[in-house]
Amino acid sequence: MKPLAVALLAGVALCAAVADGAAQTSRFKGWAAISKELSTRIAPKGEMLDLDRFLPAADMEDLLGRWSTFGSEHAFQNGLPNAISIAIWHATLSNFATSVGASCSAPQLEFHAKFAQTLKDLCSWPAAGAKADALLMDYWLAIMGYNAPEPEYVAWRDHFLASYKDRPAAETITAMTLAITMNPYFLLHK
Amino acid sequence: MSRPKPMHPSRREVLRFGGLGAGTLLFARSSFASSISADADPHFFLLVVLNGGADSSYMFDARPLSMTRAGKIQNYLGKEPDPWIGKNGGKALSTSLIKPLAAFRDRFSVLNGVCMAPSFDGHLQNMNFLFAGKPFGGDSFVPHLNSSETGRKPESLDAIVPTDPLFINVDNHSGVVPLRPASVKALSATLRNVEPPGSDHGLVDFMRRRLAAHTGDAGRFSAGSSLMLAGLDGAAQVHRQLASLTAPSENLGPEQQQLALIAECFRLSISRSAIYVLPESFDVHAPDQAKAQPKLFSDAIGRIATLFKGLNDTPFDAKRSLFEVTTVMVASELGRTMRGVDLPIDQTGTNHNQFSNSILIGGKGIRAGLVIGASDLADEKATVSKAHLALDGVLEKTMGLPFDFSTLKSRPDQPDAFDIKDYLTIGSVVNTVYALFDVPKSNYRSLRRDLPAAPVLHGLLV
Repeated sequence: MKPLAVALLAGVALCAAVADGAAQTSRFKGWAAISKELSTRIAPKGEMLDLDRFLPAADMEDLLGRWSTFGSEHAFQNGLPNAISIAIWHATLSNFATSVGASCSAPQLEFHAKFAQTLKDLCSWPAAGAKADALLMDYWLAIMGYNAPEPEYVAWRDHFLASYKDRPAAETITAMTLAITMNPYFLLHK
Repeated sequence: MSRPKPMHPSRREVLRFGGLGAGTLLFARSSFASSISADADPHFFLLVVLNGGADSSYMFDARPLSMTRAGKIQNYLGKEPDPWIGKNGGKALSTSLIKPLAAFRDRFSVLNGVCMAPSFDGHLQNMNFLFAGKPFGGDSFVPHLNSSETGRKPESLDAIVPTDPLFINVDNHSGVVPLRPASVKALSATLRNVEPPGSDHGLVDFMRRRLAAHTGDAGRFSAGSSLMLAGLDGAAQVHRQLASLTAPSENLGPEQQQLALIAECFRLSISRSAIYVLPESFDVHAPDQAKAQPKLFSDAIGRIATLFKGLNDTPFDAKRSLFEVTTVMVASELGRTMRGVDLPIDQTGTNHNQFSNSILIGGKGIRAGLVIGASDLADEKATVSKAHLALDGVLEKTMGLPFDFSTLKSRPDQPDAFDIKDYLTIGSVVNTVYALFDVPKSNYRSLRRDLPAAPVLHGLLV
């Protein structure tokens, strides 16, 4: 037991030694991971959504967090949020959200059947049926997955039921989608 | 951690606020929005990085050919170097390859014999030493130049990298971002079509509230949410600044495009610094790579000269060139050994040398035309100190000579034991840049954990 305790203590001491402010900060998952997550959740099985077209320019994914290699060293770079990465995420995800909202009138992306049905039902907003908790929860989970705790969903739902209650469907769905995808539970590693 | 504001305005504050009205009139090419936040005493930083460990002996720390004939140091240029004498009487030898930089000799100083580290000699560790002063990473010095602690209003970004990025382990480069000329046109066009995430927008307010709800705890997620919240608060301004960027003309050469982007980012208060990584790799372990050094350095020096010329020719505003408002530093993460062990002198590559590096520094605030410091083993007859022998028993590396910080000249003595206080180190160079930018002394690099801050090279400052 003694060697085990010493090893544990040494491990804790080592972790404490290497820990610093930045090491204890959640970083962005990165564009590649977010693209994969979104595709897994809303694209037809086995297919990837073409999300790169929503990036403002080539190389911009580098600003959103990416793995970099130097010899045998691997490091995740540009993962700490800053004003420019937020501006790029916001522009990219605004373009994506607009495309989802516009899909109410004409499909802009290829979705899997279940999500397509959820979106179709939500496109009747501001009709009462589109405001049903079950439907809103389905939409939230379809985009967010199970990354966020329930109070986060409740805050999102209540905001849209109050602030967007009479707004058109495309505008509302665009805003809903942007609000989910700009949420820290969606963008950051926990 | 922000410091309490002094009771009395500093000279810089007086200049900034007193000159603000006049300063807004000076900006020839910038928008009104940027002019109103302009600094009356603008100061930027450009770091040019020679990646891979550049051999100083091909630039401003050359050796006579007699040393090659004696089998001490490879020289694939095969030309006798010329004296490079500083205004301060400091001496070095330079190769013919530096000719393109000769026109700018009154714009920069040469620092030779700079010790990067007394221990590690790996690329990553020494690049970390250059940026963070530690082998395994930490705080990079570049963001500190943009800290509010300097008494200046921080620019939106700490630095842009308009070239290939560097691989380093630093913790505070969240405001150091790659931004390449080729991306700017599409980026600015797209951003002009997307509403910035402004605080007057209800949805953005909602996002802000959700982020704020997760800040204030001690955990990683809370820290990340705090950074996201701070980023969101600054994103609208950055969005507008980036949307207003003008893409450099595609008719310009790559260096000119990159410099044009840097100039635009400085003028529009987007960035305090720029990190410019040359495309050449100077890591020449193999003989064939080492033999290519004359071309390698010729290309790299040509690029540096193009950057210097661009800095000189590019107006920052109606009165000043970009060079006049920018401190420029050219550095590699380490130097190189004189030769490989047990290889013919004309068939050898070179390895890493952390004990002696050359740095060029010039521009705003820097006394130019000096030669500061020197490395040992100046010729085939030179002897070295016991301190050198203790660290490099086979004498494959040059090493900085002991240094007199009051005269900025090397000392003739040969210490028996290595004491880092005797040497010019990268810590002193960075602390000198810190002093120039009014970075608080609490951020200065120490010589070692148990030693005080590395001395500032006051004689290098105007």
